[in-house]
Amino acid sequence: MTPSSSAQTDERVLYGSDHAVPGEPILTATDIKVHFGGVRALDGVSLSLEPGELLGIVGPNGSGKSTLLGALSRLTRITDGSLELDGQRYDRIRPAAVARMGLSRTFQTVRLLPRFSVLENVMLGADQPSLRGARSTSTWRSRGSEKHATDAAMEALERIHLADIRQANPADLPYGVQRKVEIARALVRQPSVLLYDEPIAGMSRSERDEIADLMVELAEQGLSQILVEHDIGMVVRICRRLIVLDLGKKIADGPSTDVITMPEVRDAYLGGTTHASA
Amino acid sequence: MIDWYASNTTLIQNCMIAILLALSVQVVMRIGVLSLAGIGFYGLSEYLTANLVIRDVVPAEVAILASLVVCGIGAFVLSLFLGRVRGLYLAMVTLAFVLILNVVAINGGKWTGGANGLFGVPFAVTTAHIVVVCLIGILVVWATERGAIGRACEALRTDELLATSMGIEVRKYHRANLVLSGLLGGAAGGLNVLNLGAVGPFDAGFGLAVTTLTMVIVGGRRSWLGAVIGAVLITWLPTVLSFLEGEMRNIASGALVIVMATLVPDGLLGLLTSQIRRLRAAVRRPSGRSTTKEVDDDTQLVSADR
Repeated sequence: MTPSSSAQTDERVLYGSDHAVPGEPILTATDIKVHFGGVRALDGVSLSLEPGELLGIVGPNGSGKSTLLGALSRLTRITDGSLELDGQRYDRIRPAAVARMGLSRTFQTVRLLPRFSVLENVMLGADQPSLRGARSTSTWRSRGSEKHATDAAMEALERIHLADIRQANPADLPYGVQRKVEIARALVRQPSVLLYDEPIAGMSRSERDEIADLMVELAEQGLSQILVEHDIGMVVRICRRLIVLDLGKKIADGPSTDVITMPEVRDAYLGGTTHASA
Repeated sequence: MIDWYASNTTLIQNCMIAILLALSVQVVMRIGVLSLAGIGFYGLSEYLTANLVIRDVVPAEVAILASLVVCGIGAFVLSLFLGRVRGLYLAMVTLAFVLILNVVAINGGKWTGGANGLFGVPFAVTTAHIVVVCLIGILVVWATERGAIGRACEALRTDELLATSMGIEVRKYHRANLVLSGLLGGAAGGLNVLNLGAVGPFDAGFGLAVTTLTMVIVGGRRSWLGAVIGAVLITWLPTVLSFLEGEMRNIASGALVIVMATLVPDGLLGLLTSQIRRLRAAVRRPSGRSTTKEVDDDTQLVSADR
């Protein structure tokens, strides 16, 4: 396994933005605040994501990692701050529209629909028309059609080697496979940004490695990804850059190998008191 | 056969109208919303159609179409208010809507005939008319249960947060289904008044709301077929139970509802499909490891990640 590198523009075949400028971030969050009453779940966090980058976000329990993903995907209402995807402000846009703009995510818990087969679950991701006209090669008539959704879902399932179990009921599958089906569902729309919320929690070692390889592969194909994860070993292994959150603030942002040796990061994890804002 | 039809014509007509009414509740239940507004639009359409026809304003067909337009617009306006509430509160708002219409009907003077209602509405529909409208209603609900729309409805019913993250506009779907509910209720009401020739203020009240809900619960709330099964069963039940005397019949009906709601929450259709699925699975493979828990049917928003 090798650390991911930013993909070259000509490699950006499957994923990435319509009009991404190399060097310009595809996703920018500026001074994001999420306050629940008196609780400051996020208190002025900024980040930027380069095209094709696989960015890791770590932090102790309750540091605001999942809230940050919620804010970035607009499913959690932000108190203040601005969000930009592909140069377009989206902090006032409805969350469903943000998803159709090309921002996909997975959740901390398995959220597959129990009454649907694997294929139907993945088709759900392809059903709604994209808000990025140039990305879609299909016409308005074929988009939204059953065949279009089936083809797109099959393509996503084949990409992560799940085509054989397309007719299975999610409840009959091992946990690791269920999580992979969710990743297929997030990929089916060919997003420009994909956010993962602890995708490997509860998985076996081999399943973890498989997901890690998949993420690196997707990054090489130009997909910009943010990975929130507890397993720091894995994050450091596959992400070149790391952001550390603690108590709703960003305490470190930089190359993974440097960040994990920073004293304030060690303090945050070991319960020390010398937090410093980055 | 002809004899059977002749002696059961009224029952068949009532069944068809009940199917439309049951569908008006089922189309919102399929996205996880309990709304009784369809019952209110049933009553509204009855009075509106009756007035237009009795006063010779327009012919019966136009009257029913006009009522449908009013019900559609009314349902859209109501859906704007309902966008702010969920779950039981939404159900309460729609029940309040039904009860307000009841009060208006009782105090509506010459427009509603007060407590006596309106009589002498010309019998302008035949069984064929009712069957055609009923089939159109079924067709529309069936068509919107399939493909991308059907998947979106199921996603909304099971997990609203996931549906949103898949790009599904929750409000748009709520609005569309509430409008469809209003149209189905309106169609049922218009046909009923032109079939019976009279309308009273207690026709479309709490009692009808409970009966319609019973149809959907007994039949199965996930599909148009469930609503059809429930509507036919509940409409026919008093006839089937005619060997029982008076109050015993009501007790038997009530017992059926209790048994169905507690033991077969997915209704007869759910029972049937789950048995078929189980049988198929048993044939396909001996066992499988199960890790996904079924999300509670009435869970509208699983917000563990918030």
